[in-house]
Amino acid sequence: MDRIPILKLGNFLLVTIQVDMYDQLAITLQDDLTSKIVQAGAKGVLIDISSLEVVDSFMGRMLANISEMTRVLDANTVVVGMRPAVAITLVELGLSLPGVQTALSVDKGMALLNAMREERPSEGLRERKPGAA
Amino acid sequence: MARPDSSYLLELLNRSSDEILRDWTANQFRNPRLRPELLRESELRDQSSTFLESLRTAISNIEQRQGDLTNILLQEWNETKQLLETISRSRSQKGFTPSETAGFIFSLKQHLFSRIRAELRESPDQLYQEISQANAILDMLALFTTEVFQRSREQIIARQQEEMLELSTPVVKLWDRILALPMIGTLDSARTQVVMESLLQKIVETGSEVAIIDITGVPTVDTLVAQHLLKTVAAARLMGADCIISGIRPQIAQTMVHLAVDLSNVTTKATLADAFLIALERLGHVPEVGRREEPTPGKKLETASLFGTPAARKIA
Amino acid sequence: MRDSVNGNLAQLRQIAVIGSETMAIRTDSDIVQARHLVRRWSNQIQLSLIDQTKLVTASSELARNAMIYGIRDGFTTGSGLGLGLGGAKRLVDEFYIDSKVGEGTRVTVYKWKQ
Repeated sequence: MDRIPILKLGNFLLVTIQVDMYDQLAITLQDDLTSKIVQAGAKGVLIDISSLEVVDSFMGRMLANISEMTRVLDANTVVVGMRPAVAITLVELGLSLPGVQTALSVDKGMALLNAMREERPSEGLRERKPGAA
Repeated sequence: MARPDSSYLLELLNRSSDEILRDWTANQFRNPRLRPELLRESELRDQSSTFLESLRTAISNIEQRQGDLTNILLQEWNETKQLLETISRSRSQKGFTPSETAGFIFSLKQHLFSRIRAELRESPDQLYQEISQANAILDMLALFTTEVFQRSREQIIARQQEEMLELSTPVVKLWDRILALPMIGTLDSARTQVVMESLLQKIVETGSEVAIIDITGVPTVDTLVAQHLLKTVAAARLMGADCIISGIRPQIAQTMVHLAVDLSNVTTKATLADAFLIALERLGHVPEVGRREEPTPGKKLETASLFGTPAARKIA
Repeated sequence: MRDSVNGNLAQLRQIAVIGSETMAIRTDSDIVQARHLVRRWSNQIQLSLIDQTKLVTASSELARNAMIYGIRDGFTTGSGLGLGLGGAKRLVDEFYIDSKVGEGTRVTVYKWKQ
């Protein structure tokens, strides 16, 4: 069975999608990512789609799903390098993927992931003021 | 049941294609009017033989269903038309004029007619019918090549117009990683689309994370244009860049609100300068200075907030 | 894309058919195949890159729809053809859908070259 390779890049995982995506491949990727995140203790995922000439609704939703899943696993996902024609088409399809972080390149995506890590510390936990009841 | 006169032509072609081809190509080489020096011998031979072949096939197919041979819209002519399109385009690139390209087809006539005349010498009526019909078919196809020529010329003009449009709305690199697109004049849907596509392309090419779309110079914006703007902003975000729309005049602000254009996810600024400042901050170039409260993405849209001035801050 | 219009319409618009293929869409790799076909043809007629992308994406949506909604017994039953078609509709210039009980559903799309 085909799989898309997942590389470890420090604290992050890098997925480069270069082949024409078919549904089963996408589903396998989702599964592989979730296990690898836990296995490697990764804090971020970069999905490089700069080679993709077509992203349809299935694939778009998959990107959104992956973003959501990684969040639950205390990691962030950044989708990197979407081509203009693809972006225009997705918007036209009604999928502007608001929950998905994006970046122009892998470098910028990494910078974003690092920035997001720095902002996290006490999120979700109520602030405790010294001396307050 | 085939009609008697059309089957003669087909039969002639089936019988004598090779000889006709030979005479026809030889003639094309010899005739300076047909510019043989612009083509390689193999190309000319190729084009001629493929044309003859497709002519035969088309006629045979049309006759089989008793169609009208002189109707170029019949789908049986599609292959021939495609072939002629290719030939016409390639020849126009080589410097052939439309008449010279049409001449390619016209020059076939004499080779068909001379044979028809020789064979049907004894039956003048049929002779006349056959020549008339063959003539009509070849004229029709020759006219088609000039049409293709015309169309491709129109396409070139259209493309040049597009390029001019792009030139008249240049995307400007304001700073490292910041682009500006100052739009001027009335925007129509087509122009907006072209310009937006070019902006997205420039974003990729320059790796700019912020693009400022300045519409100070735009008097009115209709729904379609507003939608294009929003789609561009959304597309840019998907690519990894943020757009700021600046220079929204009061009238446009009102129109947008009335048209229920949803700007809640879009950063808007009164002036290009304000937008530039925000862009610099976002990229970490300039520390936040004390300034009036600015509209941020996610805030509910108020007409006044489009201008960013506290004095005008009231719900429309 | 292969059209299914009647002769009159074809004559009015001078549609030139450059390719025609009938495929069964049963697996997701069939969807990929369908995409490749449409990509190849739209390349051939030199559609702009954006139009190509839209058309190929629309084909993907339509193909997936066909796969999901009922090629099990060769017919589409009921009105299951809802999802995915709305998006595809926005990507093309013309969109026709024609359902006949017991015969199935035919979706025809047009993307005109500028």
